[in-house]
Amino acid sequence: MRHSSEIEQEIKELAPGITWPGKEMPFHVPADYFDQLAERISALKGPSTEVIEGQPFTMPAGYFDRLPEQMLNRVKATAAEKNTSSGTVISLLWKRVIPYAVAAMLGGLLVTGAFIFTDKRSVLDQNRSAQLDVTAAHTVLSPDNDLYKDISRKMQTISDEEISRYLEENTTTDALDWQPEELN
Amino acid sequence: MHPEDSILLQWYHAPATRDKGFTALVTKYQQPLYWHIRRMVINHADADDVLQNVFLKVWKGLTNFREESNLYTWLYRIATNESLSFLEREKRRGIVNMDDEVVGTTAQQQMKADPHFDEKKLEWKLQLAIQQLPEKQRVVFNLRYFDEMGYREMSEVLQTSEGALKASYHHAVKKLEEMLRES
Repeated sequence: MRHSSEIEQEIKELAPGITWPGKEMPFHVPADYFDQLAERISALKGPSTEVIEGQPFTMPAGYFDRLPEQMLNRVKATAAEKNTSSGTVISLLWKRVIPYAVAAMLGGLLVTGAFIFTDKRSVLDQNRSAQLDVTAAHTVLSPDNDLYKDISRKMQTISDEEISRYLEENTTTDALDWQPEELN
Repeated sequence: MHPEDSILLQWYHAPATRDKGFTALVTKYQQPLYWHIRRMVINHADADDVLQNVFLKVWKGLTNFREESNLYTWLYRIATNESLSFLEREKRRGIVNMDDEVVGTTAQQQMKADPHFDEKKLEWKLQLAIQQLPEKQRVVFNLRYFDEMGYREMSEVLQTSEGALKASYHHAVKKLEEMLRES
């Protein structure tokens, strides 16, 4: 809604000593700019819609004409992406696994916590049984034990050279010699 | 002669004539909105970018547009917000540039770079003076003086009371009067 005369009157009263210029803009605009603008914006907003007879829905005009080509391009692009970015696959896999691992850890902590705080008796029993196992181990390794005596006797029959040879033959340093290039 | 806003909206809301309605809306409002934006961002390429964003927002938002609101003020509100956001982004980029010792181009420098710039012409003098106003006063002055908008419509566009807008416009006119006298 234009208020030209009201605005002219208002500005003359506010600043009477000034000649105010006209409303034309002095800025330069490219030729035909406004003639092409509507068309350019229509192209930017995406394809126009199409009404399908007997359907309440609309779809972009020419949607099915373009779909096979679009799908082919998309499938090709996805296949190319898979071939070139195995690293990404691993990281995506990790992204998927981490939440489950964290959930499992938290679940485990909760169960353990509940177990510790609600069933102290069984914990005490466990401690006792652990102590019993240690006692049993001590008993086996005692010099008075028959099994220990038997092992000691057999060990005395093996010479130091035989032990050294055995270690040389059965120890490997392959892990230290590993080179990453071997993977290529 | 452009169709009435109610007709444009009718066209837009019917799927079969939606494109026709939107094209008619762009054709009707492209010039007023362009000039409103251009007076704020100065440069044509920037004004073109902002205007395109405005119409894309209009296309997305028109489905939910409540017909009891005034289409004209709704469009101006989007255009004003987009222009102010653009200026804000430019200001932030300017600060970064200053850190990199690259001096940002001011609106006045951009005007002087216009091939049609003539510092003796009153229209250019006014435009240079307007750039020295605070942002809010600049918007209010432009909407009132150039777009000839009423205070009630301006209050819808800027979400400010009519009283505050009148005070803002009066301050702007007084400052411009002083600047134009000096020049």
